[in-house]
Formats: sequence, structure tokens, C-alpha cells
Amino acid sequence: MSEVVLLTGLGLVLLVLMAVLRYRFKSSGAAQESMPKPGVPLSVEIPQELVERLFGSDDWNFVRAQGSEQLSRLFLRERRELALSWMRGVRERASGLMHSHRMAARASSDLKPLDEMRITVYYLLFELLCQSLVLAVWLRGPVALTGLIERIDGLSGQLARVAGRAEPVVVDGGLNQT
Amino acid sequence: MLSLGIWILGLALIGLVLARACAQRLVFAYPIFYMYLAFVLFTSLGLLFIYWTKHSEYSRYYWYVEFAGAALGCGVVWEIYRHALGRFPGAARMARNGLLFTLALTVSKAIANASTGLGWWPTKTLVALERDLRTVQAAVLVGLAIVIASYAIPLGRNLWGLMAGYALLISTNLVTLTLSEHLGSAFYTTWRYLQPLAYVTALSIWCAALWSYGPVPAPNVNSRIEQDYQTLVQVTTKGFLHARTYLRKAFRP
Repeated sequence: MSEVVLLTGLGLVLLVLMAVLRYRFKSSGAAQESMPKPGVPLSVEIPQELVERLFGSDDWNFVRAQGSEQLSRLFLRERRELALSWMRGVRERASGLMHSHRMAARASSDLKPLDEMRITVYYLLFELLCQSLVLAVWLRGPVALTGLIERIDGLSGQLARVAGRAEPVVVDGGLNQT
Repeated sequence: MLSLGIWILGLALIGLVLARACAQRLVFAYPIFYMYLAFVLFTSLGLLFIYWTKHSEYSRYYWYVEFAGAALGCGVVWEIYRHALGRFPGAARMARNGLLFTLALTVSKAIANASTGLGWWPTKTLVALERDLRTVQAAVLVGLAIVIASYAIPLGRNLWGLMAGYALLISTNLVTLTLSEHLGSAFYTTWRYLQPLAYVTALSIWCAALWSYGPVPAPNVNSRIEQDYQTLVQVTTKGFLHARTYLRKAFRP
């Protein structure tokens, strides 16, 4: 019975994978289009000063002092959406870093499968941590995450710098690394 | 009558795909695939002749032809691999390692069977042997699809269609062969229509995708990065390690 499930599952997995491939590369040139465009930010940049103000407790203390329940709810909802949007940006940068790595590695004759697997594990762990943070934002709310937000902002900038170094950039007639 | 109609439609579609291949000179680009199709065309015509003249012998010949087709199909999988990853040595190396892993699993299974007294090759019938061949092909295609998706390998319309059609054929074959062996005659009616329908669908995909030559998009290759893979690994690793450290700290404000 287990063999029936295994073999039937293998056949179905193959069909699903082909559907995923079809979705990812809708046309023959889609792979090129899916590459991150050099120089184009993966998410909206927010200046550090604005981040501190948006996620600091000053605004929340002020809103709470007004004594309006409706205003407090509106404030918290907007801040939560902003925090989640920021998390999406961080994940996009990590995804961009991974994508840039694979674009460069796929043509390398020196590629080492173990290194590739190790990097994939790093990426998956990072994704897991990001998802945990998103959950924390939902559960604890954005205002209680002042410490977290500051660190995520540092991470976002760092990933952007690293992704920038690894990202292939089009130079006359070919690609180069920034 | 319906199954005969599907059979004849399938033959007409194979003829059309082969005719287009000759007209568009695609036959030189994918020789093994078209050899496979020509084999299917001639053996199907032969089987049709046997079906009408020596009906009692049909079943025996059918399984021989199916098995030979499955064996030739291994060449088609190899052709897909060669065309898809030929320009990407890094991705090809990943795929080769995946294939070696699959092979190691198969050998381990054979050794395990031998140690439990089932023999090195546990299959006893041509049906089971064909199913085993299809299983290996499906596993290889799954590995190829994962590598192609992960490394965003551009396939082009022709190769994409070839792979999609063959994957559909293999997966349907694998599922129907497995279920028919497990369920027996209860599955026979479904199998009788499902298999030819999948075949006609695969042929339709091939007909559309291989109607004319579709160039494979040129890969973006950075010679500097190729020469400096270790630096690339270090940069990416460092990025993720720093990112993880930040996130860990974030959980302990």
C-alpha cells in the first residue's frame, strides 16, 4: 500500500512541478524577466529617522492620551500594516539575494553542490525566522515591537548591501558584478 | 469504438508532429525524441494490424512494445537534460548529483530486496518492469524540474513543450500502472481510456510547442562570477549569517 501511495504521489508531484514551472516561466523569456532589475529597489525605502518615529512609543503615547478608543484602534491597525509591509520588504531582499546567487551560480563550472545546499538551508532558516517575526507582529502588535523593528531595519539595510554586491549588473554586451 | 477513435487520432497527431519536425528541421535539434515518436508511430501501426488480424496475440505484443517505448524514453529524458542544462554547468552539476542520489536510492532498494530474499530485481512481469522504468524517469524529471525552477533555467517553447508533454505522459503512465497493478480489473475500464487520453493530450502539447522553431533565450553569463564561485558563496553566506544573527537578536529585545 505504501508503494502505491509513493508511486502515485511521485506522478502527481511531477504534474504539480510542471504546473509550477509553467506558472514561473509563462513564456520562454520569462526567466530573464524574473531576474531582479539592477538598481531597482525591491521595496520602498524608509529613512531611519522616519522609521524611529513611526515605530517609536511617542506617537502611541500621544494617541493613547487622547482617550479615544476608535483612534487607538485605527492607529494600531495602521502601524501593524506598516510593520508587516516592512517585513515583506526584508523577505523580498533575502529572496533577491538568493535569486542573485543562483543566477550567478548556475553557470559556474566550479559550483559545489554542498555549498549550494548549505546556502539553501540558510535561506530557508531565514524565511522561517521572518515568518516567526510576522507572527509576532500579529500577536504582539507593532507598538510592542520597538526593539524588533530597529533590528529589522538594520537587517534590511545590510541585506540590501550584500545583495548589491552579489547582484549581476548588465554591462555592455555582458554581465558584471557590482 | 471510442478508444479506437482516440488511437487513430493519436496516430494522426504523431504524423503531424513528425511532418512539422521535418519541415522545420527540428528533427536535427531533438533526434532522440523524434526517433521515439517514429518508434511509437510504427509500433502503433503494427499493433493496430495485430489487433485486427491476431486479436489473441495483441496483449503480449502490446506489453513488449510498451516496455521498449519506456526504455527508449530514457533517451528522451537524457535529451531534455542535455538541452536544458548544457549551457549551465553549475546547474547541470547540481542535477547530476541529484541523479546520483536517485541512483543510490535505487541500488539501496535493490540491495535491501536482495537481503530480504526478494532478489536483486523484484519485478516479475513486463508491466512491473515498465512501471519501474517509468518510476526512475519520473524521479529524474522531478529532479530536473526542481533544478530548472530553482536556477530559473530558460527553456524556450520547444524544450518546454517537449518536457511538459513527456512529464504528463510519464506521470499518467506511472499512476495508471501502479493503480492497475493494485486494483486489478476494477481499474481496467478507467485505465483503458485514461492512458490514450493522456497520450493524445501529450501529443497535442507537442504539436503546439514544436509546430515551429522557438529559440531558447540566451543565458546571462558573467564570466567573472564563474571564475569566482567561492567569493560568491562567501558573500551570500555572510549575508544570510548576518541576517540570522540580527533576527535572533530581534527575538531577545
